[in-house]
Amino acid sequence: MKFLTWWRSLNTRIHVSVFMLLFLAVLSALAPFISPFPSDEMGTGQTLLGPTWKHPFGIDSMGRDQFSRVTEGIRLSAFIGFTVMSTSLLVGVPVGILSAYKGSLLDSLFSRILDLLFAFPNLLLALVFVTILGSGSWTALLALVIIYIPIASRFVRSAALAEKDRDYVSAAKVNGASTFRICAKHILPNIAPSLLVLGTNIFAFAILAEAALSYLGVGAKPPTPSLGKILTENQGFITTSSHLVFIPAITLSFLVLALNLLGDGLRDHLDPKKTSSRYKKSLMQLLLRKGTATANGGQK
Amino acid sequence: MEEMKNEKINIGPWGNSLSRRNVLIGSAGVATVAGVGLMSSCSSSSDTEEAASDEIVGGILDGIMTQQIPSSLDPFTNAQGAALNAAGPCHDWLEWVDIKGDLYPSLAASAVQDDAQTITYVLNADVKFQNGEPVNAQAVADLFDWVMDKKNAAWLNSRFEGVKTEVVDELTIKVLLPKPDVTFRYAVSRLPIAAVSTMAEQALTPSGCGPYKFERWVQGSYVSYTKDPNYRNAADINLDGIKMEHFADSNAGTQAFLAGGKNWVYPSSLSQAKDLKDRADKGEIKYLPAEPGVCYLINNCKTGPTADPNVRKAIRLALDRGAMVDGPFNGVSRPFFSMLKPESSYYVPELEYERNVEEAKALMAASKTPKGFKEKIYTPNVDYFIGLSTVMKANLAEIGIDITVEIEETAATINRMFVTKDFNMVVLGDALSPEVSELHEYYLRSTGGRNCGKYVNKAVDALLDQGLSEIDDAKRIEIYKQVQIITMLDDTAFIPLVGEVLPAAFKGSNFDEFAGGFIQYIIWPKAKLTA
Amino acid sequence: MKYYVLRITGGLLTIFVSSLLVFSLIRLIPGDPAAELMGLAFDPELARLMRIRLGLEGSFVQQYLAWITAVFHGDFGYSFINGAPVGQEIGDRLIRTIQLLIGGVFVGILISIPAGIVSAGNKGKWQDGGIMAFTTLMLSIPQFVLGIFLIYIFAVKLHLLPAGGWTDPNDDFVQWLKSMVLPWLCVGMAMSAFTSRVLRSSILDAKNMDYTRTARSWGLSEKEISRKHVYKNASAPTLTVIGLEIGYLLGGAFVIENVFAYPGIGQLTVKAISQRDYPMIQTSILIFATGFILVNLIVDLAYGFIDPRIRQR
Repeated sequence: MKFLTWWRSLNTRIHVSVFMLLFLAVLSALAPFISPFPSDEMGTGQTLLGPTWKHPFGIDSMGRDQFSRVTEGIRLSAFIGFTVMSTSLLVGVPVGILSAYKGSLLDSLFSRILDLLFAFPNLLLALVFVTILGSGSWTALLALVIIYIPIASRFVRSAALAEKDRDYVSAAKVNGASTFRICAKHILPNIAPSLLVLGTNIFAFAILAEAALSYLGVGAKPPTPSLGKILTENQGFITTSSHLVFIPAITLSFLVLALNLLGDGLRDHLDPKKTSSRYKKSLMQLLLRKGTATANGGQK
Repeated sequence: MEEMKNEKINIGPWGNSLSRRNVLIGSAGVATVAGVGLMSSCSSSSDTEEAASDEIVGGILDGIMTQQIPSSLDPFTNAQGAALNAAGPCHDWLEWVDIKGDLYPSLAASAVQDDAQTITYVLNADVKFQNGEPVNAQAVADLFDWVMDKKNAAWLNSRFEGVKTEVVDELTIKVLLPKPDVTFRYAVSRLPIAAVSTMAEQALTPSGCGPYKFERWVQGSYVSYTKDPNYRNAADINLDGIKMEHFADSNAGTQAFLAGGKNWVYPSSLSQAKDLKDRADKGEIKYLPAEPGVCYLINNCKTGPTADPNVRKAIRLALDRGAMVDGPFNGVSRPFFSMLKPESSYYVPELEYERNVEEAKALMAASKTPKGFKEKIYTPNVDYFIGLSTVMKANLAEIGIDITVEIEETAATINRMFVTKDFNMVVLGDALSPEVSELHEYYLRSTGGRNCGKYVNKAVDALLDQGLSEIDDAKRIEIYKQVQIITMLDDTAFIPLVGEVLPAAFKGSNFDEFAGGFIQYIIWPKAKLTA
Repeated sequence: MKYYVLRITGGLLTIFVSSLLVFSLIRLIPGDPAAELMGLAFDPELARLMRIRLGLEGSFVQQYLAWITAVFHGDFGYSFINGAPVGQEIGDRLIRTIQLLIGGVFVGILISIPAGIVSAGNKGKWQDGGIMAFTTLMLSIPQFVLGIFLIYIFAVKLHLLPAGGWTDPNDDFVQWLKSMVLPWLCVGMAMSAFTSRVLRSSILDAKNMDYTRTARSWGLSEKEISRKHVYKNASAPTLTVIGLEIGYLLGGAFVIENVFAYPGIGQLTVKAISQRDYPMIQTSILIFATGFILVNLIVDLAYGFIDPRIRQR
């Protein structure tokens, strides 16, 4: 009952996005029952087949069942997005809050380091990193995390700056609370709603950035079917077997769309009084987009 | 000792262009000649009639290159095939080679192998470089000296080690080799003849004595040429010019070709092979699946689990070449079991075998690693190599070998193979050669320049020595048959996979001539445009 | 005032440090350019001679100082691979990339202004829903996929436009214009997604502002209010965002350049990295970095402008 009331209090965008995400989750969970072919098995004996009952999304050029690959891709892309999101928040939140709260020296130091990381186009930075470190399973993830840590830190810092001078912080300070306590018990809970929004946005944009990295040849390793990798592998088939491009493209967009909607919805839900103007919220999102103007902007 | 060191560095006529794209494209011309030969022999009768009606005199041949964006137009110091192709139209060669291994005179009116160590070239008279200097015996000798001078860092340098030239008269030059080398003329056929005084400018403004004059190069976009009225056979040039546009993405390049306005695309996207073939069947375009190279898997024969010959045999038996042809090559390639095209007179049909997973499993069980092992296949970041490794990963999983596909820049893979030698399994491709000894010398001789798998078999070395000094064709065939059976089957020192196909697509029926010469542009003058 | 001075000096400092970072970072890439040039014909003695010729002998500090001094004199060095002057090549490329971005941004504005106005004017109706769905879709699709779709539709299927490549506008302006349409569209569509959202938000914000309510209470018609107050007030933030977008798009340019075979600076940089062409990489990344730092400076200054409290720190 309580759940229902709470659910009703949420806005439509959250409702829609939750249903979209649930649909994808159920689809990828049920995938092994719908189509019992492993995603990297080339045993179908055919190549470049259109959709059939047995293979609802067709078969790719390597003779692999596309349905299994796309559903596996949903899981993988979600995993990538989630890992990037959690890692960058894990680093970005303490750095951002400390930087904002302690101010002066620490803030300047962090800010300069962030400025430096911000000074390079992300994809180029990722390319250079991969060229230096060599390709490895985790290099692509590492490159993405490197892209998003500065973004997350910057965002958290801005949010925390706004909280820092609030009365409750001053009150805690007067009461002799430690820095850690103030940051963790007072500032963090108050910026948590923005963090939720930040998280969903990073989640969504990281999936797109991974697709761009795949296109540049530094993404997931074959036969790993992240949605970006599937798109890159199949992009040449658009003239002959367009379903091999359209289906993963639509799935990827659907996933990112759901996450974007969730982010939008959460933002409105958590800020019902519309205390900050829409424009400022958009500007915040622009900072986030920095990771994707280049990544979403996004080449072997 | 010195000799051995040189041998290591010496990677032969292809120089350090060993990167598969470079090598393969560099030699694409050779292969295309054959393809065109086959094609024109099949379809020439009907085509020539049609073509005669709508031929265009003049016009610009406007094509798309999707291999690599060249960063230099100097084919002397830059071993990139892209550089050679981009600079090709302004160059001429002493001789050019077709797929059967036959050499045809070009700038040289005749070339005679006096003995295994002496070659005499007689040049055509009254030929001038585009800068006005005469193309005479002295100019050729100067060029050879320039190549031999280490500080010029010419990529053919190692191939010219110890060579002496003798200017007999204005047009005759004698080349004296330090040791018998029947393949030297092939090396010379890859050296465009240019004036030494122009060498410093070749990278940005190439010039030679070919049919077209360099016009403009917009780095990263296109390179253009206009016809040279002073070319030695100027009357043969039908086109007003050539323009080559460079696309880094072969899918986009092929789309651009299909969108219209362009005369050819090379290599066209393998993903679009089926579409292009359909269009070719409908007569909209011509499709030429040129097969300039062979893709192979090299195993470390000295260390690691692949040092066990049983493991290597198991690997070769477990591989599904059919899936490799259908998958990464979209049906336009064919399985390979040797370093030679099946059409070669040195080809040994006994090398062919069927996939046999059961036998492979038995061999694995008898090996030092009966439970299988984990290994990496180093793979250059090229779509079809990645595809091949992906297929191999699936195949080898069946016999208990757990493969990780490690993708790197092509340059890094080559560095790994030949400099650091730090790998157990690596996939790459190399240009097929019409000369049987060429690839066998590189890959299978214990001191061979490309023997990165550290394969050593004294019996094979002895056979290879015999092969080099044998003149009788029948005996030579027998010798190389033994070499191939020992190395490909018994020792499995080298696992050929499939033909490395780089398909060209083009419009107009009179492109057959030019399509034969992606490297030896010298036969391009005859190209005509058709409406 | 102090805030602005601090930010600007900080920005300049960052440019300096990033030049140092670029310089050292590319020297961490395995593979020596001398070896890269010689490939398998590697010979230690030859390599040493070549390193001297390329200016690679001497300590790291000496090399860096030599480079940075030359840069201050406007000399960016010569490409290791083809000997072309780096400054000129990068200049040519930069101009082309800027042409690509300016045109793209222009297309983006052409799409986003009507989209933003219509969607704000019909908040909650089907027009708003449709436009927001389109913008969200544009935010959710990788740009290389968008590029491939555009090529497929306009070049391969409809034969309306060339699928890529570049024509010198001095040779054939019309052809140049044609070849630019698809890249511009690709940049513009991606950009419009964000800009039209910002415009919509700004218009909605402006409609709720006190001055708008006052104007409404005076009995001005909605049209007049929109013209006189709402659009005027919504245009400033939108312009700022468009300015920022240009900087951000610069970083994404090389994906588009790759799809459309466009000879811009992104393509050059990627190529130079794979060939270890140090002078080329150093200079082009430095240019990117300078561009980005300028953009970030603007963001900082804009924040200070929006939220005066930040200025006091």
